[in-house]
Amino acid sequence: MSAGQAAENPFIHCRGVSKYFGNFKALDEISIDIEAGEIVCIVGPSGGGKSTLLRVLNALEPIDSGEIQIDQIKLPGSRKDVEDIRREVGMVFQQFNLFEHMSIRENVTFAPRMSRKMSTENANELAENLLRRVGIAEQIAKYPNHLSGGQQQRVAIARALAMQPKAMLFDEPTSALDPEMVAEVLDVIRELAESGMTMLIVTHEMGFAKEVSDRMLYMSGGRIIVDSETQEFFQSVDNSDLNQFLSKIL
Amino acid sequence: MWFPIVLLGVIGFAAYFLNWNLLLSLDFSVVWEYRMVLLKGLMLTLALTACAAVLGLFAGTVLAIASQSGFAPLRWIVTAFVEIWRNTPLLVQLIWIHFALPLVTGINTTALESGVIGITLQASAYFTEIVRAGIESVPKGQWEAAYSLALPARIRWTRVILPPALRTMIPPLVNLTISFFKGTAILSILHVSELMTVTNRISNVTFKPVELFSSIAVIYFVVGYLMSKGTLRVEYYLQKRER
Repeated sequence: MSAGQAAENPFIHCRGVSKYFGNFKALDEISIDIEAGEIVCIVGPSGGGKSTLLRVLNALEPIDSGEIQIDQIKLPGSRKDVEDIRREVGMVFQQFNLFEHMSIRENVTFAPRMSRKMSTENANELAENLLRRVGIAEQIAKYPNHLSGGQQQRVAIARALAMQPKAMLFDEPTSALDPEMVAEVLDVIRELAESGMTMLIVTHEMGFAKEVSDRMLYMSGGRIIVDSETQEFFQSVDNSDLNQFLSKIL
Repeated sequence: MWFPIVLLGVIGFAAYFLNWNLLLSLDFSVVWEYRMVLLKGLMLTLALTACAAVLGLFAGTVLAIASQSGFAPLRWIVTAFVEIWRNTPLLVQLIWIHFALPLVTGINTTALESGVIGITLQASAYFTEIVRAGIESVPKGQWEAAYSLALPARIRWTRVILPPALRTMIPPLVNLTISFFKGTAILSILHVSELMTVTNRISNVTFKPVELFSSIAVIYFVVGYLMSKGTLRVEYYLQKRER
């Protein structure tokens, strides 16, 4: 399950993935395999390519070269491939991005109904279960504006889970939150980690990363500089770049 | 102290120059006498406004979506359409559609058809710009959420992007609709039988232009005023529901 170990059929597979924004190389020949059930935290300085890596895995950004394969679906691919990958992989954004004109219930039921053709009845039941799981069942009839940032982010997690994805991508899920709301969101992610979901989490919460992840990536300059088991990452990895980063943030 | 004196002076000055013989001989009974004809004219004016607003908004929305397309020639066509209809006078467009277009295409249109075509096309050009601005005001995060949830394009537009876009567009849409409501009076050049045309006709047979045109000015004002107040109320209600 750990880094370096060759796997037959990794759940997420990237080979030589590069992404440019104009002349800026956001991802520089990224190659990585992630097994089903693995929990990977990505850390590193801003502008290092962490968010871009998540965004290309969700096909929110097209890649300029290389190949991505998620659960046997390849990118770059047809529109159908792109939609299939997005159904398999849930995404949680820094700014929540809830649909402001829909109630909490509609936010969570909308995608399963529209994208997975689930009946309204089943979708409602699913939404109630998921919202109970993230601890905001009583807010179901409200609109996003009525909720705190932490509550909105938990709804956003429920919304992504409602698509019944096989993997979840978290793009700095607590960075836009007031400090007192960080814990409630991390608790939800922790619970999800225990359930065996495959997860990639971009975060600056080192204590949390150390606790939940199986594996850590350190990204800088569009490259994965360090890729190692979590324990090893915090104890014995000898990389001056990483050590400098950790000493600044810990 | 000086204000009442100035006011009195202005009133006296106006009173001196007013044509009192005419004012005292005004007979507004002509408006009542022709009330059904005027009412029919107003109905047509409102129908034309609704046409411009509904068809224009529909076409404008389609064009605005096309203007976001990744296919450049499609964007150029939209831009050309919008600029042509926005930068020529409605009067010229109407006359061109009614008198020149049939010569070019061989298809004759009635005055009403020409009027509807002209006002709708111009409305759709203006609506395109408003809808485009509304679409561009929707935060990027809403798009990304829609993409990441694999929502089909049609659902993405109709259920995620357009509802908040339309919300921000209500004030400019109302203003534009009111200006097309007033603009229908120009259609009288084609004798379309809307309020302005029928008033002209009545005036020609009764010789009472002051009474008639003063009255329809009031009618235009009242309807326009109600339209703006009424829709602002709708906007207020929509906002309140989500706060």
